[in-house]
Amino acid sequence: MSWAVDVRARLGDFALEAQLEGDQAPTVIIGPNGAGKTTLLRILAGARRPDAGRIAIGDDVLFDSASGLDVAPEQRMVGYLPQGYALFPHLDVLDNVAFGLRARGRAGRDEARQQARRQLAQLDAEPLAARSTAGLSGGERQRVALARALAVDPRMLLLDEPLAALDAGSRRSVRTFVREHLRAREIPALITTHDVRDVFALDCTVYVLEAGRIVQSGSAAELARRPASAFVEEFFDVERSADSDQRSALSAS
Amino acid sequence: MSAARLSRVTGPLLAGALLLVLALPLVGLLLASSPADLAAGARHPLFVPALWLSLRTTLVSLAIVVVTGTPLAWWLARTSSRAARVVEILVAAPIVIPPAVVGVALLEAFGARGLLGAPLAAIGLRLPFSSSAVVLAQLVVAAPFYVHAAATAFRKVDDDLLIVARTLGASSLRAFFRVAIPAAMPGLIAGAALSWARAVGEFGATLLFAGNMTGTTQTLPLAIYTALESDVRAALAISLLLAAMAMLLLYALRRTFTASPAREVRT
Repeated sequence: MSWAVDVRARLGDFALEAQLEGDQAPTVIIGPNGAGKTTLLRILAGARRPDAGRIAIGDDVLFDSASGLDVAPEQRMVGYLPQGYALFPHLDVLDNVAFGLRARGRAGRDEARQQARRQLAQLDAEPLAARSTAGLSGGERQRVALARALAVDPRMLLLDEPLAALDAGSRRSVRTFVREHLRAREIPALITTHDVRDVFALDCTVYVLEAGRIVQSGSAAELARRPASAFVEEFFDVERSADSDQRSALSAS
Repeated sequence: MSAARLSRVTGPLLAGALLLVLALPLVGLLLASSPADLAAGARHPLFVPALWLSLRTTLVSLAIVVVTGTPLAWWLARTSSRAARVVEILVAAPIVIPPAVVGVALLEAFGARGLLGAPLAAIGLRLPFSSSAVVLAQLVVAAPFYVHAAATAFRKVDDDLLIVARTLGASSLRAFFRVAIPAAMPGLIAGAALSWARAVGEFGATLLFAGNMTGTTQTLPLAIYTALESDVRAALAISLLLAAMAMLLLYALRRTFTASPAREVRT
């Protein structure tokens, strides 16, 4: 399934103008803080209305300013994982995952909970079902948020800095986990990150968003080879310097 | 004595003096009456009608405050328009305006010669000096406490919670009732409790706008005022009851807040 976004939005002094497209392989957006990454994801989710443009997933048009079409967020079938995951604090893990099934009227309470339990089991998170969200670790939150989004069979996933809230130790395992599950489900995903290792781990098309505009796109290797801006150069340079740090550490030992 | 030493002594001294002034009246109230006095006070003819009237009117005004104040607070919390800021000041006004002034203002609005006096009279409604006037006075002085607390609680509800709820299939109404309200619940309860406490204690606006008639407009605080002139034991009994209710409320609120699960920590 392919998707395409072409939107313009003005928020006070900030102007966002972005064109990007992809297929069922994940797509990554990188960019400095305040570049408009979260705003772009919220526009796709339907939480913010762009001034002009078009958003389509497969044959479904979600927004089209030319025809005045603006599909409500609850009808977009887009899964949104915000930074910090936004688990519902008043519900336990199982009811967090069952929330969408209940809201969509697909199942009564018991049936929704059974389906939620199966969803958690698929992500190896079933033991968390009865837990309160307050005591979960970062990696556990991530799994629950992913299970909650996947439970309603979204046609596309939006992940805002999925690893930013994790400590370095759990980052690697969660990165692998996210990659495997996205690949297995063949759901298109748009992922923002500021970690160069995510870009290489996901091995996908990268868009660079700076000050509300896409300044470059391509594979990670292409971007690293021919950076179009100081930000891109520095972004991939971190990897190189981390590599050389490792090498020097190895040669020293 | 050095300056540092001086401040080490004067700070606690000043704080202690304030504490004493705050606590002494409560102690005085407790020690003033024997159980027999209290029983006699509770049998006073003013007591039961005032208790009933207070319960009835404050529950009605609380219900109206919550039903109308919740959507208003939600709007205040979610809008950054200039109109919202003006409304916010308007809503807060009864907190700083003396209750007696609120009473006069209510007469000017709903009294026989007030703004709405003639239209109300035309449909056969005469508000001043009725139980409805008691409710109206409580509503005006108590609503700001609820609206302010509810708006603060709603502002703390993470936008992302609502966006996620919507993307999962919840309509904006469902997201409001199933996510925003439960997430803000501790703040809403605290606001409702404060607002109710203010309504129970309402005196000045009620006296001026509703009067002081046993069974119709004489709430517990007004009954204290009347009883002081005839039977001080009744005044003490009512005072003790009101103080106990307030302290119980305070205790329940503190328990609710320390027992509620920690808010989701955003990192």
